[in-house]
Amino acid sequence: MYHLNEEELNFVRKEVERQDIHFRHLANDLIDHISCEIEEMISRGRKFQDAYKEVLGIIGTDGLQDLQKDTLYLTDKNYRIMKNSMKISGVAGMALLVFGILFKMQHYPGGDILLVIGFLLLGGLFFPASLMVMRKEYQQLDRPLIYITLMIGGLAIIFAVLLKVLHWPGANILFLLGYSMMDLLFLPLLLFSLLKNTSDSQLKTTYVIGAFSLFFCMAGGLFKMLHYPGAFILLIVGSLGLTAVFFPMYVYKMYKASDRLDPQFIFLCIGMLYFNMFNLLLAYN
Amino acid sequence: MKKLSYISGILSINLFLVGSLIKMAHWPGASILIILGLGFMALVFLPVATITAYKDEVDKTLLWVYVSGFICAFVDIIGAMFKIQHFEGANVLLLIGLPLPFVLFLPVFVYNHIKRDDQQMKGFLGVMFLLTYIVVFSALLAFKS
Repeated sequence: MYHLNEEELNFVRKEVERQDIHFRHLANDLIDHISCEIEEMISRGRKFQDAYKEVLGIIGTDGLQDLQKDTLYLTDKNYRIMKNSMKISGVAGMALLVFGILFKMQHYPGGDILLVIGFLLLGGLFFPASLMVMRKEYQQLDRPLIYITLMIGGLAIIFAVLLKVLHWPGANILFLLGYSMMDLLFLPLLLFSLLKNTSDSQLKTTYVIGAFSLFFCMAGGLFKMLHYPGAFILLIVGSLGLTAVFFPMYVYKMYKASDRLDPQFIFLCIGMLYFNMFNLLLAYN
Repeated sequence: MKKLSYISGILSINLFLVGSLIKMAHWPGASILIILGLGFMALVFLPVATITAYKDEVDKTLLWVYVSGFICAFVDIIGAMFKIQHFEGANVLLLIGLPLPFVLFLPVFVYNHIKRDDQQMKGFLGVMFLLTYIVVFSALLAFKS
């Protein structure tokens, strides 16, 4: 049986690459498969170029592209469904909430229903799905417990806000559950995981400061909602630690080496501003 | 420009925070610090950082994401400043500003995300979490008082 030489193999490889097959395993399989077919035909007395054209004719001109699409779709189907439902539910839930708030402020009818559906979409679909996607994307935080505690804590807080807004009973218990879950389980787990994965001692200090500040902020938020004393001090210590100590240190460590301004930094700044504003309003109320 | 963005960003947030704390304690000088902090953020940090980041951006089709993000943040920050200082027009600014990120920035961002078929979820999740946080806490604070 005829064996393709190096030059002919390279030709096949280039042709497959030219078709923009970027899924590695598929590309290798395709090169292998096409080469075998060509060898088969050459053994039956064809020339290389004719044999290649014939094989391509069997697959079809766009055949390779379609194959790739199908492969990706099949291997990733569940993941994709989850991702798409996450995107749709997130955007839809957010839109419903915004209109619900506006309706309620203007005392139009239907505000409550919009709020309930919006919160259900955000809490019931978007939040769990996004955590699962996160788990796939951030491999360094691989302890499932981190995501489970974040999920329970986040859900409890989201629904506590809903109950509070609608003046239904049970909000305070949910707040207590959510905040203590986040504060006593999620934060320490996250901190340990981060500390384990970094060797830089300065970065470690930064993480510890950040975690403690966040701890104070969340404890302050909880105390405020439940009208315990000391909320004011906790919120102020937390905000100051987070903004005046952790944030500059973190930015300095993370972006010092980067030679371009990452839009992430602008996003972080605006996020910090909102976080502080809400914290202070909470403390002031 | 890069250094200016970093410094102005961190400085303005801290000015605002210290100003707000002083205001709560009813000490003098709070208003100046708050106006300085938020004004610095809206008029120096935001334009400088947005332009610098866009210049460094590899994918120039993202122009509208940057522009819409800038507009939303600008209106919101100025609105917050007017509200805290009880300037006239604060309520109009906030009435426009509060839904603005959700009716302007979010559609533009999601459209771009889908158009580019972005498989990287980091940015998307970050934006969605921040917006969720904003909307949930806005709801809480709006109905508390």
